[in-house]
Amino acid sequence: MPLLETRKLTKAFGGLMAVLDADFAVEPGEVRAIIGPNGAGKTTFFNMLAGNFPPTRGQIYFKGREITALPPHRRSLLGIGRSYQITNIFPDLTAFENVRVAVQSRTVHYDMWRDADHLTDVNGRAEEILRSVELLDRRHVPSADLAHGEQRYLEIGIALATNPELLLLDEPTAGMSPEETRKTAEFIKRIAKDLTIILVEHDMEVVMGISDRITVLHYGEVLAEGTPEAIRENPEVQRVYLRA
Amino acid sequence: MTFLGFPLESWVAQLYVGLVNGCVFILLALGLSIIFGLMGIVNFAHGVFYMLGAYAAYSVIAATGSYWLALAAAPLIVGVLGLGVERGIIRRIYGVKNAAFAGVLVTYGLSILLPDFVRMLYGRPGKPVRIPPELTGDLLTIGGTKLGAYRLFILIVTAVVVPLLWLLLNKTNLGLVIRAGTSDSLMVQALGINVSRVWTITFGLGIALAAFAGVVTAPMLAVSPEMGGTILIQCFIVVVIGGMGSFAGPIVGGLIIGQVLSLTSMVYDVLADVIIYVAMAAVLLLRPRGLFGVEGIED
Amino acid sequence: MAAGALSLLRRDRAPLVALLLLVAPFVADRTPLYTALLTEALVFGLFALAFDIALGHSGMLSLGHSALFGVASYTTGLLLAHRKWGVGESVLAGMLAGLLTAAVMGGLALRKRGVYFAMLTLALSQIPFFAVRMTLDITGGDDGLSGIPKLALAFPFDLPLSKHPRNLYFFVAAVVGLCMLMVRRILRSPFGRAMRAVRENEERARTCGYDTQRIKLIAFLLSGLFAGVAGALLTVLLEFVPIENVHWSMSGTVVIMAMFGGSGTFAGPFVGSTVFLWMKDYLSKRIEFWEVFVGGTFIIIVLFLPEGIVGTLKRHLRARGGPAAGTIAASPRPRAPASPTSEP
Repeated sequence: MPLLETRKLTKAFGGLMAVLDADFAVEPGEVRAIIGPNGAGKTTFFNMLAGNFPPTRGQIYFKGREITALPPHRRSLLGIGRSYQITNIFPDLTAFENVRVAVQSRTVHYDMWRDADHLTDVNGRAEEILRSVELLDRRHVPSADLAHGEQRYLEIGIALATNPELLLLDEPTAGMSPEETRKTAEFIKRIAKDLTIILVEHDMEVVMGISDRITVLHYGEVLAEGTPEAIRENPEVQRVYLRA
Repeated sequence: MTFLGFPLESWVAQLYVGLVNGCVFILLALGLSIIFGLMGIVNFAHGVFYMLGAYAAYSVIAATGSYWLALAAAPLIVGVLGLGVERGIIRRIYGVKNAAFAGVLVTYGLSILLPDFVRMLYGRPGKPVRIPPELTGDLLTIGGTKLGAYRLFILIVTAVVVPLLWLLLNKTNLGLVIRAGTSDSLMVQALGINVSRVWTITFGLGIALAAFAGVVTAPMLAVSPEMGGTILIQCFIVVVIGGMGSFAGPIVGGLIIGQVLSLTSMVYDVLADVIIYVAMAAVLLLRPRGLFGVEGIED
Repeated sequence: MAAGALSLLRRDRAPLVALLLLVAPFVADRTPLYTALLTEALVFGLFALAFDIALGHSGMLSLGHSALFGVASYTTGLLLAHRKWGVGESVLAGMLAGLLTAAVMGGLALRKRGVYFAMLTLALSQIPFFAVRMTLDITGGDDGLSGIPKLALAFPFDLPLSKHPRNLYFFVAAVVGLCMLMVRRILRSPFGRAMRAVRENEERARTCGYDTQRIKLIAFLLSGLFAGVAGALLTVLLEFVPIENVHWSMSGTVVIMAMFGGSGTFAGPFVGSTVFLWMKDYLSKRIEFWEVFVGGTFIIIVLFLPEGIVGTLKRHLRARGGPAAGTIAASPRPRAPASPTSEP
């Protein structure tokens, strides 16, 4: 059974069809990239998966259960995590607290009695995640003061901290240097062993390097879908998007 | 012939009064909505500028004896004051984190500061502003209620100003820039247009509208330093019900609130004030964006 | 031993505060802050702290807190005057009244966010005001609610309150101190951190799995609960309920107090209330138009010292090399504006 599936997913803004009749399915453990020219509807599609936009038509299923109308926080609790293209962290909180509070979301957070600093499991897990995104030594820095690349790592860290089964990554390498991009790609490959990942990306090297399958969107419709090799050789895709 | 125990003529009279009250709300709410629409600032000093308009009218009349001059000059004077306030005070909050809150707080601070200034200059008790002799007298008497000419004047003036405003926003270059700035200031900036000047002008325009409402109302109400308080809150109800971000919203909201206040004050006087809050709660529950509101505004 | 005491102080300032509260009235009458003023400052400090639970700690600017405060004041007053309830029960009832009012107000106003929410709280807060006026047989209307009998505490021991300023002070200090401990507990708890996440970035908090609407509502309820205690205490203190308690200007006063002292800090609301009340007391006797002064100071603080007195002090102390603090008040970061009030 696919982990995530959409059927005839459509989003219209007035007369403009941003996404039209998208049928899409991702298997557990897969790394799926969504690519397409600007305006192809990638962001809109992505936001529908994350729960930010209600679709005009169509359904979304997660682990066989329909989640089309489910608000973002409920999706998160079901196991869908999401990172943002434009860094969307908790600016005045330290890097550590950014991640810790994300981990905390999985526990009883209506507790008004205990001291949050004494939640050892939460703290431990937060440290683990910070270590994996190489920010442990920056834990006390207010996240707004981190460098851009560090913030992008924190961005992914926060998404991971919610222990997702499905991770939605929105242009994770946006604005990164080539070195940072390479490291991020490797990182994604590592975590992909335990997760299913859907990512929107512009960097073709990253896409070709880490994806199991690629979906190409064009003017809101699914143009093609397949392995990186198949996509690379697809003449329509070449015409529309890739250079030969 | 009666309806709910009141003669038909009384209903007509109250509807007329409500319509005129609605006009004042329309002028105020449009100013508020314009400022909010472009700048994202809810101007908590809006009522105070309304009050300043009335006082400016008082001063102009005291100096020149002409109400007509006051009608033209007072909004200009207060509008220029509004430009100064934007340049000197308001613009310091742009780009700051939580700028919208800072806008509320700063304009709220003005709403405490300015009335006391007025008390310093003019004294605590109110000032009288008389209806100009050309407009005194009653036009008709319906059901025992005399409907004065001045009310008709307010109606006419509003009916002139509102379409002019619409023309300004929709048919002029300035209006185009204001509306474009609402959706995409970065782009507008890139086109070389001085966006910050547009913000200044927009704020001044909204203030001038508030002041104009004040001038127009002055002969009918008590002009006092406190007169901005209650009307501000009523104005908020108007934009909640009518909806912000559109041109029709404040107009429809103003007309509705004007009527609701007028009719309930006849039928069940005690409830007149509370009923508009109940109406607002109802709108919030059933249609949070307001009747003509643009979806997604601060929801 | 001194080093031990000092490190205890750094970890927990509660004993120091308790000591200060205990000693204050004996010293106060020799300073410009005399006992009665101090007592009032404690009550309003609690009110400002309650307000700041919503603003500084959860990111909700409420301009309708006069309703929460005022309804509680009247509830306590009515029970004391008309039903001859005891002091303790009346204060508890006031607390509940604040909570319930917050439930209604929050339930309606939280359908919107940000400034729209603020406008709604302002408008909704008018309803209790008009209700008080409309029921003037019971509430006294514009003249306020009088007829509260001589008050005395019955439990845990007999303590006359009326006309005993020092007793009143200790009663108020005990209640406020207890509330302060409770608020501190809440702010340090997992829920307190959730509140903070919502304040910092509501959208992201939602994506992390937090039901932000529910969190905001609960935070608002807490705010109402403590504002209710403050309102009840003021009634006990004044033995009278002025209609100003439920007027929208009271909402403005508490905003000013919170901002003066420092929104988002714990001591700020109390510093702010003390400064404001002192200003009002001192200036209004000397300057006729002292509100110009207050309004002007408020604007200056909002523009140039948005962290308030305590917040600014904290920032300077931290810059000298203390450990990075966990709680930080929202601070301005000037950036090029896209639209004047959109987040860049």
